[in-house]
Amino acid sequence: MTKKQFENQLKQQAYAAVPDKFSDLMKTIAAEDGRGVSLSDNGDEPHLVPVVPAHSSNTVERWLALAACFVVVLVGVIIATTRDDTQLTKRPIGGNGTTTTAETPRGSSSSSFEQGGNRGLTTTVTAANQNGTTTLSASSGTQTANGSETPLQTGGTKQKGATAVTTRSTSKWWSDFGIDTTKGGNTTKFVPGGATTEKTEAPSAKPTTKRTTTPTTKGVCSHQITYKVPVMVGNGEIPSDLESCVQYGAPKDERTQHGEVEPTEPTASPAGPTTPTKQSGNVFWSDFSVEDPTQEGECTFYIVYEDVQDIASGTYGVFAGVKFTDGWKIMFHSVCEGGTVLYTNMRIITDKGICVEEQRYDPTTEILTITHRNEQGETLASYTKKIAKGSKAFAYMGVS
Amino acid sequence: MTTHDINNLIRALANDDTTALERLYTEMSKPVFFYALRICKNNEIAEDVMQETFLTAWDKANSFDAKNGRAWIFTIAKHKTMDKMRSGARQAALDETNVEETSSPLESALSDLAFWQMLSPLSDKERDVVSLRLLSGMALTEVAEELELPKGTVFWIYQNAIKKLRKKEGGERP
Repeated sequence: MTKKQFENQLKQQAYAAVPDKFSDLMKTIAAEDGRGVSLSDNGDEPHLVPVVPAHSSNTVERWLALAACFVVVLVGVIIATTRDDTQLTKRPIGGNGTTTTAETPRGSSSSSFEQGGNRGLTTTVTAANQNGTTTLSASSGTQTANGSETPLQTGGTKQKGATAVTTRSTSKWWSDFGIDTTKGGNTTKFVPGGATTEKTEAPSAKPTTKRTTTPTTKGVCSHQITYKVPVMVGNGEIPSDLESCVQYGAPKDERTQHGEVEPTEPTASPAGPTTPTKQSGNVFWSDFSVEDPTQEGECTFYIVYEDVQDIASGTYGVFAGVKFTDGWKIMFHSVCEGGTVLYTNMRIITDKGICVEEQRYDPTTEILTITHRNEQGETLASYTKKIAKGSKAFAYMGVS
Repeated sequence: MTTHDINNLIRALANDDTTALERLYTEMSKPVFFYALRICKNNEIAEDVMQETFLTAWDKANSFDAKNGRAWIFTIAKHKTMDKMRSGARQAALDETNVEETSSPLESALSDLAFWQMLSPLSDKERDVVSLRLLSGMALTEVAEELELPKGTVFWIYQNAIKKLRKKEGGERP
């Protein structure tokens, strides 16, 4: 029996113990308000055919709401028509199609005037600032055929001007990981598609970041990253102070809560996972490297980690996470099942979509295979790595 | 049935569509029952909550404007359950003065449910996760929010719990 079958069996057994009381529910409804339900002749069984009363309470409520809306609108119109809006009545309004310029509290603005129809019953004034951005639109004024005016109403909508496009700076992005890109080296930049760029920053006390952006056959980009990231292993709970571990160079005493951790200098590595340089306690620092085709746009990290030492026993699970400024974005467990298939169809939710990952470990060959697919099942990337049983740890970091 | 489908069924209730009510009841009544049972640990209360939840949904469908109808239903059920438990506690306090022995009604009610015994190998937390995930049909994210646990932790607990249950049942290793 598969796991899914077992779950279904368990569910069905549980559901079988719950009585179906839908007819009781219908009786209650019929007895309480009868809305949509009527009892049979003997009064025992409710009909399930909708019987909508001519004036159900529902309908009455709707009419009342409509009437209330009408009253509100009426009051609004009365207030508006009796309001003395000197700002607009004093504005020089020319003939149809004319444009005038006036000084306003927000600076110079131009107004266009249009009269609707031969009898001139509706006028519209649109004001724009010097940049041509509409700032005020007023309408519903009336003008009689003989030219006398009634005040225009300021019922127009104020529209937002063009807003500057805010681009998330890469340095900000890195700082989410606790990387200070202001010291030493250059700030790396994402360049989706286009020419290949590569920048490496290696400040003495900072992690190495290396990013390569290249066009791929899928019309997307790939990135290669080598970065030292802390990963917690083992106890299945995320410590509240893990964030402090993310802060590279955080005081030692903050990190010792999860074991004595002494980050070591990362080494530039080719694409593909590498073993951690040092481990102590249940937190260790490891090098990550990956080359992964991604969807277009800015890329986001995710981390996959397995403790290879325990793969063979099939009883161990670990997790990894990355904390952004606005909370945990990526966080999941990897679960060893049966010692071979670690998991399949694990959906990793990232800022930019969902990636489905499968991990398989063959204890005989000691080969771990990681496959990433998009939701359409297309393989985005596949990696293999020989990892000896008893290896202390294995970590992998990808870009989605 | 997707959340979108559930939302449409709830909106249909506002138009007195009893067919929609029946479909909604078929889909959601048992998840609601187990949702309430997890909180109150009482079979009778859970049944009452199940019925009253749908009665309220029928009455309040006009005001439904939530994005997640399933969550809306569970919220109603939670309030109903809490109300029932509060009133039950008051009643128990009154009865205590008149009855010498009040054998734990909650436990006796639970013992009637064979499935609850099936979950006996599990810890309280594991039982909660299995109940919400499997029996109430909640997504991992919803379970995580309900129990105020990280999603990954919920996943991990659920996997372990199912593994335990399979072991007990003599099933295959997952």
